[in-house]
Amino acid sequence: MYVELKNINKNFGDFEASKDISFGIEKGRLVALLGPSGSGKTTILRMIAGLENPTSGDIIIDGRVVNNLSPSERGIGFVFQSYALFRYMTVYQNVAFGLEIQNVPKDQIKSRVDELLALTDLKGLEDRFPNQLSGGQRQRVAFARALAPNPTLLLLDEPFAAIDAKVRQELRSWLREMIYKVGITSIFVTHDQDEAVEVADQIIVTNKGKIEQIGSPLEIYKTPQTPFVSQFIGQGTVIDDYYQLRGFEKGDYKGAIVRPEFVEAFKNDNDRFAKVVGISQKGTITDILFRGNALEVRLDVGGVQLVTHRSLERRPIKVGEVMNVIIYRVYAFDDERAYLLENEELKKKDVNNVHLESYLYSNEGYFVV
Amino acid sequence: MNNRIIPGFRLTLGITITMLSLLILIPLASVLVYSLKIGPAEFFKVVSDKAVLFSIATSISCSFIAAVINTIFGVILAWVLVRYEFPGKRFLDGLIELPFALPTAVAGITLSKMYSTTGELGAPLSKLGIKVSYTHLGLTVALIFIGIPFVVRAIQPVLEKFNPAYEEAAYILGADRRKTFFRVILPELRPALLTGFGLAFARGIGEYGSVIYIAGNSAKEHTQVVSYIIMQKLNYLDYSSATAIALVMLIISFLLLLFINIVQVYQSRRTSGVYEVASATTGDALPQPKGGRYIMIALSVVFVFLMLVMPLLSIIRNSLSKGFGFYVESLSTNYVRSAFLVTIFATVITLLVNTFFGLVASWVMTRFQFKGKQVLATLIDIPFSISPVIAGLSFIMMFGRLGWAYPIVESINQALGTDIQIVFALPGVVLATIFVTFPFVSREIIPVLNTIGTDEEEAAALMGAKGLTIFRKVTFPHIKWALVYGMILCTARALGEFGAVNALSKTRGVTFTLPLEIDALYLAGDSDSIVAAFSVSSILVIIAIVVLVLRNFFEHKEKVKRAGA
Repeated sequence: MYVELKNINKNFGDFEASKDISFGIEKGRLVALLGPSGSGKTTILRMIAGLENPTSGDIIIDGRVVNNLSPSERGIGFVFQSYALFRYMTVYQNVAFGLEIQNVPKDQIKSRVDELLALTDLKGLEDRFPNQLSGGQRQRVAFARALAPNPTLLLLDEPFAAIDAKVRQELRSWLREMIYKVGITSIFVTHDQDEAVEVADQIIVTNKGKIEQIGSPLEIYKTPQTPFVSQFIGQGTVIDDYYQLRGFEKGDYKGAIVRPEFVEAFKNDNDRFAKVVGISQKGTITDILFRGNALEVRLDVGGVQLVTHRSLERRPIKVGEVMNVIIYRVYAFDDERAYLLENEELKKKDVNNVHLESYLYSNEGYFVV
Repeated sequence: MNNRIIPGFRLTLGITITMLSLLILIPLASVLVYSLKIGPAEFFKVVSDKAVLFSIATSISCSFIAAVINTIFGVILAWVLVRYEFPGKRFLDGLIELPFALPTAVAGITLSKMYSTTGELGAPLSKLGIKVSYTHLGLTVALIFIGIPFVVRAIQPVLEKFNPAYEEAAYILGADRRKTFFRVILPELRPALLTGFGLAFARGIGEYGSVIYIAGNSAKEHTQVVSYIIMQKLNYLDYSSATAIALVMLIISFLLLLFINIVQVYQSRRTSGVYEVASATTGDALPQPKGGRYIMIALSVVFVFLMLVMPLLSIIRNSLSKGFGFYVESLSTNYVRSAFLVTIFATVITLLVNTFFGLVASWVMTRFQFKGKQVLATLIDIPFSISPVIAGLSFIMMFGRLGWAYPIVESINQALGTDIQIVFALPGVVLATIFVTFPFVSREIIPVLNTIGTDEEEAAALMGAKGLTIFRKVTFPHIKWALVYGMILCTARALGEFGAVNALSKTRGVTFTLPLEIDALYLAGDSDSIVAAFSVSSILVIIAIVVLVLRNFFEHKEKVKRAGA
């Protein structure tokens, strides 16, 4: 493990920002700390950086306990949420700052800054001041400034929060590529699950000062382990009486989460679903919302309110229309954990003679078009 | 971007420009017109007079040194007040404004007495061979006294809003506290520092009341300040010399104001448009050297004690030095009673006029964008940087026997059979007081209105609310405390105005205000009347302290309200 946190606790007065946090990150990984605001993700990042002292526990970077080391001795680079670019310094001076502090000879500073400005595509903007740059350019300056002293660990606090939605998309892939190009172990904080899923290769989900789950984006999506993760990831609807849905029996659960992609709604005369129409149940469309790339369809299925998405390529539907509904699976949860429940009737039927489990979030669905 | 959804642009702009012209610009122009009539040869003869040149040099050099010292201590004080918690901090914070609230004449006689060879500080210093009163050193001390709040109050808000991420970024990149301060924090403070420095410097150059007693005013020792020379020329009825010197001063003030404004424009150019999310506080892992912190707090406390607390104590001690009976007696003379009434009369009218102007001007300055707004802002601030003596001179040059408006007033008097006198009469005293405190109310309201923005007013206007309704229901609740504070400050300054009134009021017991009465008593020179001068001063000191307490109270209220919102 390149970065390791062992039993970290952090209190701000009476407030427990981190409760017994332990995890490890391998070298070269790009990790997202994902959680709602106030979940303690930024505190974890700031403790790794050396901006906050943990109340107890050890932080280990590259085999050394770094609790008592300053950030520059830890070999970290930090990109602040609003970038904190020095407003009275030019782009060049901002990037050179960390090297000047270390008394690096002038010519070496120049070549290092030039190299970074070339890497981040900022050539020609050396003499600009931060307020003469666009949001994306500022992020790139912040990135270059953090990398200048050759850190081995890069920490980014909500790196896309200060950027317009349109540019954000481009910058996500830019940052991901750039980090792989530099080959630096990186941890970034975000509250946006799309961002975490898209950029990171490992996600650490935090909630109320604790770690809920660690895993690859697919694992987090596919097998949420706690009630919190099952609700926080995806666009699930929480329902109490999941056992009203056909194929699911009442168990010792408090409720269940149904994501839109788990709900299939089709018309009576749809040939593709002919084999399974017998195990479907009736649902009435209560509302249809245009979502741009798809329709969001709300259904009343035996008193249970469900949501599904419908491709715009499929036949038109209208409010009040009765559809056949099959729910592939739900995440049931109790106080502690989340459990994947498959549709028992669908499982028995096993239309394609393949074990159901392998279909979840794989390239093929149940029904070949 | 012209915002004309909010009503009242024409009306408020019209009122602002009219009042500004009548009360400030036309009187000042009268000085200008008269000084231009003298002719270049005489002008240069007056200005190149040795005493005049020395006084200009004295005013500029002492003000400059005082402003530099104030800048250094201003940074330390502001830093200590914003960054550190310690017992008595609010008390220290409240005292900073004392020089704004204390009448300059009171400050003048107190410092002069304190630093004289028999005074509380002067005696021990003279044993060390350091003479303060009646030297350049004393002059500088007085100028430090009056300049403290300018620098501290310019830097404090900048430090309060300072984004901790800057310090953290520097720390992460390996900078120690010293490098972080000089390379990252100081550049952010620089514009506010220059503004505070400029204001303190400008105020120092024109200062009259607080320096004339301690300066000694000796032509030989070059301890005469420019304001003193102008007043001297006025007393000799040498108007051409007075106006010529005043013109030079006006040019210097104008250049300083211009400098301050350019700095502010430059500042907004560097900082505008940079998206900022300030985190709450810096991380607890950042180094916090304990030693430096105690040295800074100790320096601040000693500085404030020597410069602000000692003078206060000295006044109280002096006023009671002949017993309480004498104290009451010296407050109950006819002169004091008359001065008290004149002062109250002038203050009430000033408060009404300046509050009205403050509300109207801050509305137009914050709710609309228009060409020449920056110029208008500079013009409104003129009274801040002009010697009060020149304010007095302006009205003499307008309404006095040589003034262009004299015949107009005379013909009105003839037509109506009245005998209205402006100069050396009550109206002159009132006009001078209004002039000097003109921007006080608007200056407190404008920042508040700028911070809250125009969203709520626009919403109200779109729902069909009329101007006065919008103001009463939407705007007023936001600016209530700022308005009250501005009015209190205006009252304090009006009560204590000295230089301008001194030029326009010559009859003791008729048109003398309290500060003039204090001056007369102090200059009488015998020990009884000097103690009486301090007794009268103590009334103004009590008012000043009440002002400071109220200021603290209102500021606290405002903070509580903001924290709740």
